[in-house]
Amino acid sequence: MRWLSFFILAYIALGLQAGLARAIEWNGAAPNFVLLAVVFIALNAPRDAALLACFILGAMHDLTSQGTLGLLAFSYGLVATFVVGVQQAVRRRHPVTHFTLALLGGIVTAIVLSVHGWLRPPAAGLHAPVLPLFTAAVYTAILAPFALGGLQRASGFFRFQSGRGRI
Amino acid sequence: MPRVQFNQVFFGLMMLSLLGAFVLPPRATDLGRTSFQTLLIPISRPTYRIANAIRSHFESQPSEDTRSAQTIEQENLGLKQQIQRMSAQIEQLEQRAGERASLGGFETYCTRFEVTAADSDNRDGLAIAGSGIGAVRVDQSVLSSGVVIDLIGRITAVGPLAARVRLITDAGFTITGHFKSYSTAGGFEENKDLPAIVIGHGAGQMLIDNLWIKNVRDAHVQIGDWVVLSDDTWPRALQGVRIGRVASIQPLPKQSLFADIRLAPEQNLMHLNDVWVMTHQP
Repeated sequence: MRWLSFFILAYIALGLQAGLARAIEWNGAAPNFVLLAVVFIALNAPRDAALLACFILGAMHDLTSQGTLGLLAFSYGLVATFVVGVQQAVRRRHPVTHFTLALLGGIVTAIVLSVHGWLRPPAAGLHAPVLPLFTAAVYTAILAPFALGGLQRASGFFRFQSGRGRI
Repeated sequence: MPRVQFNQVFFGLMMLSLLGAFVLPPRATDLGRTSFQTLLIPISRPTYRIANAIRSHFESQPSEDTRSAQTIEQENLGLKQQIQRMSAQIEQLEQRAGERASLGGFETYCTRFEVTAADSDNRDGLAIAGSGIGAVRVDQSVLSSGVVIDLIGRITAVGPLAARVRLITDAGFTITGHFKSYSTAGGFEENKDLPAIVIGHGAGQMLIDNLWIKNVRDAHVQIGDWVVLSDDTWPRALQGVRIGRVASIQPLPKQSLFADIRLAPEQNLMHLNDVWVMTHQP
């Protein structure tokens, strides 16, 4: 995988997440552009490169938000582990694949964030609403066929290699 | 890299992130005071502006006020009368003491900044930028811009090009205030005997759960009333500034003797274009 292309994608995804996501939220749920990048990388890149890249994406998302260091890195690492596991069994360019993987990835992330909010509430006895997290997963999944479809057309730019285990 | 070695490295990274997220104390891993979001300004600023411009063009601001038009008209009339009275008082005070700065003109103490991004995860925060960012310091108060000025948050991190605002609706943000209600018979009434602890609840809402529901009912607090700042840890000039409007009042689910009062700001704080930062103390 060409790492320069990955970092450009990461920069654009994080920039869109910071600038666009909350501006187009619906009922408090915003789409997760970084998760779409995670699904795209995990779906196409060789296993090791995909896992590392998705973890790095999560860490960068942690660093550019007000959250807790490691939370999104762990979430996206889990999502990548799952997507890499099914990468050979799915049709990578099919919109249904994009929708399903983005939805599952969003649900995994929502569960991790919900558990974190439940175990470590921002104030004693205060639990932030979790419904927007799951709504955001659906919202992201709806956008996935369009975003991932476009990215798949540009996948040559990333020089994904078919050899397994190569970084 | 050999497969076994990579697996160990990746497992180690995942364990480290798990420790950071769930085990290490929050003060060690809380990223509220970093300003890495500054690096994203070249993309986040134009997309934020364009998206907000498009949304405001096509979408009218929904009215959260469920009161009748007649009640709102009466309140507006009362406000006009109050403004006239206050204007007269202000003129008198200006003539007497020349203390113009202490009469409320927030612009005197504030600097206007452009919002460049909203927080990218499920927290309620904004990134701001603009000339004069060098005068911004951590813990300074942030107010909304526009005709009516509301308290919206506090600076939590300052970088060379941008600063981060934690909004009052962010989960866990705590502030104290009191209720201000309006009735046709009595005009504006402040319930200073009913001190409320306002806690950010996330998703654009705030919560008050420290009051007995009997006291709330006795004080005639109702939907549409304002909560204004009454907190000694904030600048004196800001005392009495609006925080939000009462959106619902219900018994607290697990402790029915207490009230569960939900507040909402006058506008969606995640969609602001400009804010005032109180960079100078009166």
